[in-house]
Amino acid sequence: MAESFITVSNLVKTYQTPAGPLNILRGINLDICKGDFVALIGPSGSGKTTFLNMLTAIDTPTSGEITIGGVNITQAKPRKLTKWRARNVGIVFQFFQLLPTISVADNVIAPMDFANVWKSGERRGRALKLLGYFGIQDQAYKTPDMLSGGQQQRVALARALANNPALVIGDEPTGNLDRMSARNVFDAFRRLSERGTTVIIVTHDRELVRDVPKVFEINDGLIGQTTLEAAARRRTQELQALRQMQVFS
Amino acid sequence: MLKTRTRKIWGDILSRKGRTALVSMSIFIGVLGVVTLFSMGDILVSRLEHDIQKDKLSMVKMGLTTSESEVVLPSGDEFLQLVSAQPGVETADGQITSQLYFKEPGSDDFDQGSLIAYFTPMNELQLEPLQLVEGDYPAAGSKQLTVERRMADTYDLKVGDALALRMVSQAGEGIGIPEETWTISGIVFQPYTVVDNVKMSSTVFTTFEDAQYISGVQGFTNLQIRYTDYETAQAESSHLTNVISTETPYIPYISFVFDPDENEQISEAANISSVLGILGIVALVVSGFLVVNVVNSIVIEQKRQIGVMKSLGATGWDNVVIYAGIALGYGLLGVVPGVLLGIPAGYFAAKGMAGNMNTIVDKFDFSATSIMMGVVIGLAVPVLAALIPVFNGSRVKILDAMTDLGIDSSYGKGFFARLVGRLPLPVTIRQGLSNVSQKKGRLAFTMITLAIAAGAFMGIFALFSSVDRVLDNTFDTYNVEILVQPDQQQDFATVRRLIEDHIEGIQFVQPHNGLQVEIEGYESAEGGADYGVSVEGYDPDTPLSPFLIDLKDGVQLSESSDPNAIIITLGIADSLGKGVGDTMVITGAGSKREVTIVGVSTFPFDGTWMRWDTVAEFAGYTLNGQPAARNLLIKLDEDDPTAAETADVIEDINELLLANGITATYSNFPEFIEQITTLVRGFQIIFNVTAGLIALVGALGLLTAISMSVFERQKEIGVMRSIGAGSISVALQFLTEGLIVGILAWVVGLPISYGLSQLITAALELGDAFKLTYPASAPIAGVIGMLAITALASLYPSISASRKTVSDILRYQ
Repeated sequence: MAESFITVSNLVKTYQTPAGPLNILRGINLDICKGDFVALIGPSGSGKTTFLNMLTAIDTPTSGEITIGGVNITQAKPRKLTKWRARNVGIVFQFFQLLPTISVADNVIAPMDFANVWKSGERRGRALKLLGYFGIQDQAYKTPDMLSGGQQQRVALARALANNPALVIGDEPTGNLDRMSARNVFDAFRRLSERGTTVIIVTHDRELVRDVPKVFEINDGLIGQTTLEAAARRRTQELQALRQMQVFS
Repeated sequence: MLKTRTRKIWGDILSRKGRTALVSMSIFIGVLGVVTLFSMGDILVSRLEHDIQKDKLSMVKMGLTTSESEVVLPSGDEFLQLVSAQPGVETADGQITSQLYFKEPGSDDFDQGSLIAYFTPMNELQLEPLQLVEGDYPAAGSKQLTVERRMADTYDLKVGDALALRMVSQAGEGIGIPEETWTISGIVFQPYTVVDNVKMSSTVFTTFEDAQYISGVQGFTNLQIRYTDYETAQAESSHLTNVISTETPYIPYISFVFDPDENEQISEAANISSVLGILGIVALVVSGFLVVNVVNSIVIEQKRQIGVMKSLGATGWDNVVIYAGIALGYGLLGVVPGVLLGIPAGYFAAKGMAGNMNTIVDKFDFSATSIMMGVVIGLAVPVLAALIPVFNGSRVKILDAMTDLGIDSSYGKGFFARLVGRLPLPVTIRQGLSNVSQKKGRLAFTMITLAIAAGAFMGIFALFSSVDRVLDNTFDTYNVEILVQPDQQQDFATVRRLIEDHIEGIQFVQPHNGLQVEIEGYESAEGGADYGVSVEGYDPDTPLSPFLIDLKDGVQLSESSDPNAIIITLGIADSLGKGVGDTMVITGAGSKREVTIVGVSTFPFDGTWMRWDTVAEFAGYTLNGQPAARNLLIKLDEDDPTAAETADVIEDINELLLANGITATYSNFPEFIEQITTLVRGFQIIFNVTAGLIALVGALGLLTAISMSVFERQKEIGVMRSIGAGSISVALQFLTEGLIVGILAWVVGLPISYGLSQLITAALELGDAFKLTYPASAPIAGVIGMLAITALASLYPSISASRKTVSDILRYQ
């Protein structure tokens, strides 16, 4: 068995609400290897995004530990985490979240400037190369609002890869795209994992998940691995249920 | 290579050009104000300090007259030796200041100007020396004169040009007034204040002997003295007055003591410049509030972007640099044009004000200090103002940024929000009130901005209303238009008859004697030096009085009044702790007398009134052993004649008197009033423009705040539109917001305006006479101005909001 790159142990996240404690994550244990392409699925409110926020050290757990590439991110100090995140994690958001007032190329350069990983003379060239990799080099000097949704998400992907991170995380990265664009984005993620980058995405799209080697389902704050067959079976059941509803409606 | 931070800063600045323009414009206005106003002061003060040599300033200036026309005066040397022998006197010099009638040869009419001559040769003057600009000083007996450079500029005169002069000394019945042609030997500059009523734009200097020849004046009309130090001058000036009065035929009818270290010209320029400059800084600080609002709004708007940048590895410091950089960018955009325009504006303002400060700004000048000040303050204010929102922005957590819903959980639970919810108001008005409640911080800043603007406007309004009231009160007291002061003592009855018989439109001619006296126990409200007070001697025996004295207590002088009866002003009464029926002792012109207070006047400047013949006896103004009137007061038939109409009558009187061998100096009261009014209006305009700049910055702040409100609530406007809200309903919501802020600002501005007007009054050292009374018209003008400003500033964003359609908004979202 390959060595674990991400180890999640007894991860718990509880929010205090006026109605009492709300348990979002109730003791998640998970191991992900380097180069894995992992999808997290689950119904709304199941805790997928919360779990992802823990993995990117955006949020802190109530208890439990996460170790990524040997770094225990649940115990690291915020300043160290900022540096760690800049160099090791690339994040792709559902709504792209590009900086609207600077050009597409500058959006890709931004993480390099912040992390100071690449020499300043090399950054633009690298940004253009990344944009070229995603087929949008010709859009480099436009502002994000001039691009289509699919193009913007590819810019977000290029930005996520700017510092050559070991881990790329996507929170509903295709949720705002048409089918064709979503498929392209997924292909890009696959190619990344094939090159050794660990990719974790959260998605609702079970159609796309069919091609993902590892799928975990989070339900009611707990996680369980689901096979492709299981996922397909579940999808068939869902379709049948839908048809029955249509018959009775 | 440009870094992401720089690109983000300029990207944000340029992405919202309208907002950037508004913020930068407000900073520009402040910087322009600071650079212009401080430059103006600096240029004027440096010119004055360059021209005025403090070690050559006189400390005492006296006006001299004589009691009899045929009196034998001591020679100038003898007299000045006597003066110089008095304790503490270092240097003394005598002058002749007289009327001069001149024209360019070939011209029809003579212009009236001033002739000044010093007993000491012009090139050896120790006190307040002239500066020779071009040519040479005139040689005595050569029919040469020098003109002041401002006269040369006004009349385009050059060295070698000729001027025709009227030889009033040679005038007489049957002879007329002979003319002579004199040559300009040089052009001089007199930077020191000479004598009141002397306009440098029509002043000629000759040798002492030539001045006597032209004017017929034989002795000195003025004396200037420098003591060993100012304290000695203060202590010894009345002794000198007594010595002159008792040991010579001269009567020192007026005397002023000056502190050379506190030169009034320089301190006045510095004070005005400081006050105006501080108002400029206020405008800049006010623009700082706008920056706070805008940067705060940007930080809130970009909360998610901050989260994204942090997720990309940006640190809190990166965000501080970015958002403080945006503020700095606004500053740069305002500072560069502000400084570039402020430099010439400061020069032209100094040039324009130079006349009022008795100096000349003839070549381009700038103030490096003022430029530095404009740059530093212009950049520091927006950056410092932005620090709190920037700091808050840098602390935004990624998670908070990504899950932000725009309002916090306490929204709608505050007292104001609950109150608004219960008010029986139309929905649109209620929405406007809610908006005020929701954006309390931002609107508080906007409100403070406008409150300072309103305070400045109302404060300046109150200040000038008070000045106007004091001036009106002063001018109303003088019920005459002309004062005639013959160079030699004349028989009053003869001159009066002459004028009444030959000049039309004269309502009355009355006797007048003026004298400066000291009152035992009286201390000027100005503090420090005792400048003495004037006694106005007039004839109370006639029904038409030249003085309409407003009394707080007691009675007017009348035929039956005791010869020693005196009316004093409230300031003197307060200083002495005395009132009607009390006695006091006055000294002056070598005499001392106990007088009885019969009335207390509300006249704003400390002074007194007595019978003219009592003053004549007291001062020694006599003719053939009888009390004589030194001056004549003339009232014209016409109600409120203009300065020009009065000047015409003066010309007629002058021609008449000259034809009868009488030379005299004339005061044209309407002209004096016009000059004072013009001067006050000039300052009023500068102050109001400064207040207007602050108000403009405030209006820009409100415009920006309401525009931001419209921008942020586009979705809300869309929803309102989709459920049937019309344009007026939408516009009304934002207009209400603006007007509420405006009214609140006006209320807060009221105490600010009171404090500010007191501060400016104190800073300008206007003195006790200009005691500030806060008029009811100030808040009324303030509320009208505020409603106008807020309505105008809110109108554009309100209309812009009302024009948004549902499809526009959805497309934008």
